[in-house]
Amino acid sequence: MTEPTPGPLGAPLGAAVQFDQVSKRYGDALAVDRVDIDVAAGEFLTLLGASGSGKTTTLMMLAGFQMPSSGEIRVGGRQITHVAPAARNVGMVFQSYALFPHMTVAENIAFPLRMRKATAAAKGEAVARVLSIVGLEGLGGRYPRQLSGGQQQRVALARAIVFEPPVLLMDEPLGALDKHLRAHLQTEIKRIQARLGLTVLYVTHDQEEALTMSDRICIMRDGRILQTDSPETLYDRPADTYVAGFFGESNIVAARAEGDGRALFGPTPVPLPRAVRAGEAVECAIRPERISLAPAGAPAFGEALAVPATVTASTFVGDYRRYELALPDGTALSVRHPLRETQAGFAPGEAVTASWAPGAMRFFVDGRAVA
Amino acid sequence: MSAAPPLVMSSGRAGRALLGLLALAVVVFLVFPVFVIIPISFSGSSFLTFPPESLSLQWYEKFLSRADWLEATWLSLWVAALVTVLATVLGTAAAFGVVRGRFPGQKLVVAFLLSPLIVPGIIVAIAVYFFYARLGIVGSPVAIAVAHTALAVPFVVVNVSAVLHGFDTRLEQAAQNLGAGTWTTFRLVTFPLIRPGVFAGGLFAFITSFDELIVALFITAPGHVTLPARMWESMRNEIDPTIAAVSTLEIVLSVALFFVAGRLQARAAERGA
Repeated sequence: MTEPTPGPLGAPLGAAVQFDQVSKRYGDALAVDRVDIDVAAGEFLTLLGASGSGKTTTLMMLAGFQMPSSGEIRVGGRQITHVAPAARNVGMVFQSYALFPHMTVAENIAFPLRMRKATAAAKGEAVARVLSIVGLEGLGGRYPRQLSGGQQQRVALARAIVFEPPVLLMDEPLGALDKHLRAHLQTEIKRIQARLGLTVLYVTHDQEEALTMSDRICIMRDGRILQTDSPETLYDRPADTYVAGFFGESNIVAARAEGDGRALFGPTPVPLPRAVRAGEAVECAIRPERISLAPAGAPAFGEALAVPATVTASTFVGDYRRYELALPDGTALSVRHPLRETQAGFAPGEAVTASWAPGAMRFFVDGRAVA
Repeated sequence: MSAAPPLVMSSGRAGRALLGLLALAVVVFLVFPVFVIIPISFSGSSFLTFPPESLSLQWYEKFLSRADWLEATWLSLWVAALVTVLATVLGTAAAFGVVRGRFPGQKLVVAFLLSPLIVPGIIVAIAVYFFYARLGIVGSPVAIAVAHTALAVPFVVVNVSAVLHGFDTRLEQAAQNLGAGTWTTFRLVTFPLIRPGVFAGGLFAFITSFDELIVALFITAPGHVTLPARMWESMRNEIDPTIAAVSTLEIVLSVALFFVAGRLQARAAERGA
């Protein structure tokens, strides 16, 4: 039996979640292909991918609306692969919120408690508490259609956490909201998650959302997991060119490894990781914000690679200026140049020196990262 | 709202007046018989004359005092009530099947379910008569209700299918996710939201049966007929304004039913999305 005291929503709720070689087959098509995911208790893990990548199917299998064709799913160590959705005790926030339109906000939020045969007093107390957690005090008597999109989203969140589930699933919960509100609710969700110690599985196709909210991100493509790592690692050390392309931009130059352990990035030889063998085709990548610009002829710092270039275009983007450069051999290079008062911009046609630390470069052979 | 292109464009007032006149003509054409029937039912004379020369309630009195009329009325109400229950339950279940299910021959099943709308009533009547005659159940009220149910089910299927098509099944997923089993989900989420369609279907079912003549003529036993069949007899044998009084009562009942249905629907819309 459950312990009597620790106040509801008092102790951390989160439980660990494991996907063990889980596959989902529709006829001949594999929607999810032998997926392994380990989510720690209290962790915020995002499944990120384009539509059709299998991220929503993966979530639906955890919620119980899809049955895995093979593999096992465990929550808090308990096998739930074939448990009915109603008995899984996982909270879920749907993209469309799925609020019951014929029930008031309070009735919506009390629904899971009603299913668990809570007393009227307990229901009232819990509803009031989660309403205050999501910042909707006093709106319990409204109907969903009387609320704004952002408020409906909060109600959906309140309803999903009121029964203190060990895991909270969120399927593109902010997809229908405008940009400003989305940013606000991202912070809000993070705050609530941290406060309650919830384990969150979050599905989105928005890279920025994934980067800002997640402890770890799981990149999915064609039903498979490409890489699961912290946002920093994913951004800095992408496992392949697809992941690299998912976050931010990269200047990628296709080259061939020379015998001396270098390759030509445009006209400039750059040192390659040791794993690249001579003669192999290699893609050399450098992110636009890692490149510094200086007037032509300025001395290079230490080990930095310095490449002469000509500015071909300059665009003001607000907090930075974006330059398109042409290297002497015609290779194009994008640069993100932060704006500082003391620095005048460069005009198209001007000769500049682009420089960056060799360590900032990433190399890919056959699309896979080599280090 | 962006304005739809007006039906009558440049001709202005004259065109609009013409349109109004046409609309009025259609309304009169549709409603005129009703306006003739009602005054006749209050006629003081003993013939079907219009307009009535004097007013009285004698035909209502006659209706209420004649056992054959009352018996026919009760039979019709009883049959229609049974039809409403049967057709609503069966039609709703069928609508779930054809909207939610995926099975071979689905379109054929839909066509079959809706076929009573297309098959001429007289053909159904003859078929049912021979079938019932063989079973020896001609004249049984339950048998009449069963035959009427077949005719009424399509109206329920059509109405419930319409609301089911617009139903967001994620609401059911949400209910299950929150701990509701299949039946509880239906009771607390699905049914309350499709109720307007179910009630509208049930109302159509009631009226279909209450109003049905052809099948009733074939399968009711003499002396134990439904109200429309009794009215038919009356038209052939008596031709007195009692039938106008009965018609007026039927009109009142129909209008009342539609009013109730409208209120229910408005309330559902008010609570729903």
